[in-house]
Amino acid sequence: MVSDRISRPSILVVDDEEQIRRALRTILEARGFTVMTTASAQGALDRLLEVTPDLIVLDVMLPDMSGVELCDRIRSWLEVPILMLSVRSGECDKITALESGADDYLTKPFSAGELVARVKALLRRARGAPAHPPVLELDGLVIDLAARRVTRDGLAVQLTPIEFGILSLLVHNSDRVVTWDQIRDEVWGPECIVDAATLRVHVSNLRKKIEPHPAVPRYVLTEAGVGLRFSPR
Amino acid sequence: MRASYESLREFMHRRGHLSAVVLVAVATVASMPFRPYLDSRHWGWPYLLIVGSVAGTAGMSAALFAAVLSFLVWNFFFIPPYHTLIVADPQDLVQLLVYLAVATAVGLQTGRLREREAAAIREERHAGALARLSAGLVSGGTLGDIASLADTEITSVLPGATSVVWVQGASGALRAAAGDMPAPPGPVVASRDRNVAYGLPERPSGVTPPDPWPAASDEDAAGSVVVPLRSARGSEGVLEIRLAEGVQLAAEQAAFVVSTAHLLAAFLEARNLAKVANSAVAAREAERLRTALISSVSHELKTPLAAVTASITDLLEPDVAFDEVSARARLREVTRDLRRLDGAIADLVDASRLEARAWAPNPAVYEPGEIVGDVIARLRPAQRDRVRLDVPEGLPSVYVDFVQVSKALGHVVDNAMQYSSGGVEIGVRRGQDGMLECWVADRGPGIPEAERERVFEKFFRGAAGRASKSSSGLGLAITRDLLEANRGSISIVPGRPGTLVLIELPTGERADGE
Repeated sequence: MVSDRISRPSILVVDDEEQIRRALRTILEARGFTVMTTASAQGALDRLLEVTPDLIVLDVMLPDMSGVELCDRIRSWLEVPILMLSVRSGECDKITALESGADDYLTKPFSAGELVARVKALLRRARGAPAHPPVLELDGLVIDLAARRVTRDGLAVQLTPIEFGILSLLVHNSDRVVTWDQIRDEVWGPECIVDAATLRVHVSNLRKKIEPHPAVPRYVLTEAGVGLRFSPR
Repeated sequence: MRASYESLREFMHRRGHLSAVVLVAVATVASMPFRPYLDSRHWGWPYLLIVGSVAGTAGMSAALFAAVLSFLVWNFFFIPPYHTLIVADPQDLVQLLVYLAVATAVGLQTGRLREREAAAIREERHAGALARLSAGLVSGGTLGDIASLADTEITSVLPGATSVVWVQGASGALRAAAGDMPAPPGPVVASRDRNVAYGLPERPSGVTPPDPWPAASDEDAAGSVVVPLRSARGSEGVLEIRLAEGVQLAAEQAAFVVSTAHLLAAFLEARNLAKVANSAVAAREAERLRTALISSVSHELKTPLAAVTASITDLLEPDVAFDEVSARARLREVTRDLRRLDGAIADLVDASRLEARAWAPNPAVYEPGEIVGDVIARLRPAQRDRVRLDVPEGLPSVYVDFVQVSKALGHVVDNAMQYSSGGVEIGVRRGQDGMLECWVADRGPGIPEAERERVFEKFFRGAAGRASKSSSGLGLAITRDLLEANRGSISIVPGRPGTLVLIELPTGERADGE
């Protein structure tokens, strides 16, 4: 639906493993993407001098340079979304990847569905398209971002502007990690200094208002040390 | 009164010759006023009394000295002509010579008895010290306790002496068994090296009189006795005794020192043998783990791989035509096998990271529900529907590594899902001592009492685990390691149907308080 409006977005896959390049090419080409592949950081830099893809999928471990360093270099002149791949799921790796400028992070092994969902989410975000239809319905919870209205089991939920700001940012980035820094920048503004404890209080209040279980979050999930992730399932 | 008598005896014992002089002088002065009233021949009796008492307290040589001294004094003061050693009357001379003979005999006899008594007392003291030391050895104290006990007993037998037991430390260098001693002195090291190099000598160095051993070599420090602690196994260490200034060991004291050294060597040998036995047990355990690891790796990695290979090649075979529905069903099974393979690899990686201590926790403050939510989010939808939550609001925050604790709780919830078919309850409540309790309860077959502790061992599989198809045998071992790394704990609560696993986690309040 959304991707129909985009004419064959191009994706550069940087991974030194032949099997992963092959799998990604098969999965992505089958869904209408144009796929270019390269096995090294130098190959990626060379290719980026010729063409600018719509998205880059980057392995964290490359033979000639770490994916994090490559990401850092690319970020110095390119704004395209970058999706990092890694075999490690440690929180440090996630933080390093996201701090180096990657937009999202996917741990191997991943399913084709997961990969495609992330790729599409990143492309939509890059083009400014909404992640979800204006009204999101999850069991009894209805989130109408356009009307700035949230209801649970038919009853209106009163959210403060900050809580709504956080929810809106999370919903726009459904299934994606949203870092604490991003929340600060987008909800309070880049100049504001907000400490982690304050942020956590707002998130805790938001959860109490929208989550089906007041103490165990199902939608607003914690990504340890990194930030939050909205899971609309 | 008795105390002053004892101290007088003690003085006479140590200063026998001086005591003899003083006593003879006192007796002479006291008798002098009575000289005109008594015959010169009767003065021998008081002196004989003095010789006897000196012999009884100070021993033979002081008694002989007292006998000769009193013989001369009697002659000088009480036998005419007075104040000369000349004896005018031959009867007096006979009397004097008889006195000397009797006094000498009394001195010798009493002194010998006295010395035998003293030797018996010394032997009793040595035997008592050795008995106390051996009792201490068998009562199973630490090496430090034994070294201090040996020091106490050595000091009781050799007043003013101190002792150090030197044993070989892990680095191979000698270290003191008790107390904080600097490096051993040269003679100690030299003795150890000689002992190790030649299996000799059996004798302490630094002992000169009465020399049952060869003379001390140049490198031996003055005032210090170094005894190798030798056992049938070889060198166990070195006993160093630092004597008081100017003191040298007598033969029986040296024998005591050697006996002490033998006892210490026997203790050290037993202790070292126990260590060897323990490390043999550890080596066997490591061997068991290695074998179990190899069999687990081959089983856990190869089984899903075999299933995947079989399914995929089956789909590729041209002889059977699969419709799309059945092909997708087969592929879903393949995906499940692959997930199991991924889980097994993750378990092995986690277990090796924990074993290598390469996975330090990175704690922060979280609400317990955030961790529970993370665990539930990773479950499959069908499993998620089986979860019953009992997590009240307003619980204190926990101070833990989120990823590690979520992984640990995930293993426990996974087990509950696998080994039971009904609902799985996950609850959190405030515990004691600043801890938070999290429990996972199922209505499955439960864990037999005999297996409740063993399920946390690596590669242990209970009756249910053996029956189950997918268990790496590492899950609960990893769980316990992760929780303990986060200052938490895990246990299985007995006495209820199904399985109730209780996890304790430190709260943020507790972290603040420390």
